[in-house]
Amino acid sequence: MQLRWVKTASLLFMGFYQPLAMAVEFSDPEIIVHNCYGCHGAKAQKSPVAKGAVPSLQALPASYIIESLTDFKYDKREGTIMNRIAKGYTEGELSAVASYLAAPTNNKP
Amino acid sequence: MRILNRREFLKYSLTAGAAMALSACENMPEQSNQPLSQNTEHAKGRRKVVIIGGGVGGATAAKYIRKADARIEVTLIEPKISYTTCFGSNWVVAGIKDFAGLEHSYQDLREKYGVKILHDSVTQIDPDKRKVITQDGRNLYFERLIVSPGIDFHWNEIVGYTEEVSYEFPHAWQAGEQTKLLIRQLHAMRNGGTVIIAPPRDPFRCPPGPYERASMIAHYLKQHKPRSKILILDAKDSFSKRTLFLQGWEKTYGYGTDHAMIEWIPAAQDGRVLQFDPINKTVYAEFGKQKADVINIIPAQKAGQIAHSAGLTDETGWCPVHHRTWESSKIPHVHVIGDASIAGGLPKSGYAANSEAKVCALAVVALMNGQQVRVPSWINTCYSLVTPLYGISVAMVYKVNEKDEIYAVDGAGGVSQSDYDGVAGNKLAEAIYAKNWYENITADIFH
Ligand SMILES: Cc1cc2nc3c(=O)[nH]c(=O)nc-3n(C[C@H](O)[C@H](O)[C@H](O)COP(=O)(O)OP(=O)(O)OC[C@H]3O[C@@H](n4cnc5c(N)ncnc54)[C@H](O)[C@@H]3O)c2cc1C
Repeated sequence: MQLRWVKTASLLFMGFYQPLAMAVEFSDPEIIVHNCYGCHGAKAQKSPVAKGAVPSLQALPASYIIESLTDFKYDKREGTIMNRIAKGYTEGELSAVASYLAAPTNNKP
Repeated sequence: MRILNRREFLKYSLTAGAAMALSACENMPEQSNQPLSQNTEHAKGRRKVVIIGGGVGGATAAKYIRKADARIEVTLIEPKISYTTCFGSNWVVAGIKDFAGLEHSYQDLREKYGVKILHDSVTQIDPDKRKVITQDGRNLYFERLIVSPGIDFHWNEIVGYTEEVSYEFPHAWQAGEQTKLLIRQLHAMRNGGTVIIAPPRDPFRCPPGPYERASMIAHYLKQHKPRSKILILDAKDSFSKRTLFLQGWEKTYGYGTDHAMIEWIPAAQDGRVLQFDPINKTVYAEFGKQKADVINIIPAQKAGQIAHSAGLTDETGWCPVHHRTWESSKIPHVHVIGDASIAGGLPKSGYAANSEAKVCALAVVALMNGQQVRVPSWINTCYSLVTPLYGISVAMVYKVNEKDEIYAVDGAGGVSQSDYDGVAGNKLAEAIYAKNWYENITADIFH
């Protein structure tokens, strides 16, 4: 009984998992954005030390975000850390991040 | 075909090394809506997550689970009334931050996000009954448990440096009274005194931390006690951001000259400390003995105590996990994040603990709701200050492969550009970003 279970599960499981194993997976955009919040904050944080030095990610148009991120990725724009971060993602992932951030319902505190 | 029940499926998916739920899970019976009860038997049908440790990992996970699904009840167990960040604690001695600025309350987690905060300590985990038992004798049922207890120390590995001795000679590697004591000792030290910092072997919490500490102490001594000296007696031959630190020390603290305020003695030059004599304020390193005025031994580390007693650790002293979900590879339904976990290439940093917690939070929500676990990725960014106006950083993006192994993305990340005239301005920018980072990460964790 128990064994049949596992067999059924493993068949289903393999069928599900195999195709993913072969392709490079597309990182979930919401998770990428959550990681951005570590520096940028989930909303405009008021820092008494360096107000606004790290820009807030709120209320930016998708076109601006995608342009900035690809410019950082290909070193067309000079930054300190963003060039190093943007290189970690594919263009597709960066564009998904831009769409996520620009959607007003997603990017809330 | 019989439909898998959740527990059986997850048990299987765990052993398969990847926890992706099948749509079949959605057919599971509805959760009961009975009122809250202290009685664990009654509570069993409810969707409960318990989190051990209200530090970086635990507090972040609590907030992000509640943000993703407010129907899940989250109880965060933490003995301390407020949390004192380790990050920023090196800055206090340099006058960049006051101690109170390191403290964060749990009020927002409770009031804004509806996290139940329990000021208590977990003494036991019962994985079969899925209960945690606390010091005050509470029994709490969990559907999933997240463990983020931070670190514990290998006392007496440096012979004579015991927990008891640490109350007089602070490691200051868990912030709070330890930090205050170290600062008091530095303030009380005479001009011309010697400070010893003894960083541990790898792996340990905050790889650049001891060297940032040396920098911040040097900044303070340079202004107030300029004839003093810092000796770093290292158990290793290299360290995080070494080139950048050494360059900064050359520029600001005369590193490498006769008047060097900081001297670094690696293991290869017999710098490793073997023994400590608290009565004579003397350390015994491989090169011989050295007396000092302030001695800051940072002992070798392992996962927080509860992870050991619960059987979550392996022979390394840290906790192996499946990285898509951070579920323990030893005990199902129990997830381990933060410094206590074995996190592939991710360092034991606050940024990493925060990043791991968010991935874990969404995975826990998905598993509890029978949804597919999403494809994770992580970031680590660690800023260090060489002076209040001179910052350096290391960063990396991490992803996971089909074998559940975390890898650093090729071509991404790395350290700040090294210092030549053209980019000297970046050091100032990075110092400003470092301070801004503190505000934003603590807001993301606690507020
Ligand atoms: C000097 C210094 C500087 C640092 N600087 C930086 C930096 O600039 N950037 C950076 O990213 N990181 C930095 N770090 C590292 C960072 O502080 C840690 O990596 C981070 O705190 C790890 O989070 P955690 O959740 O694993 O553990 P912690 O934050 O330590 O939280 C663990 C919590 O669990 C609680 N706990 C333990 N056992 C139990 C139990 N049985 N029951 C209930 N609660 C329990 C503890 O009380 C504690 O509050 C620094 C560290 C130090 C020491």
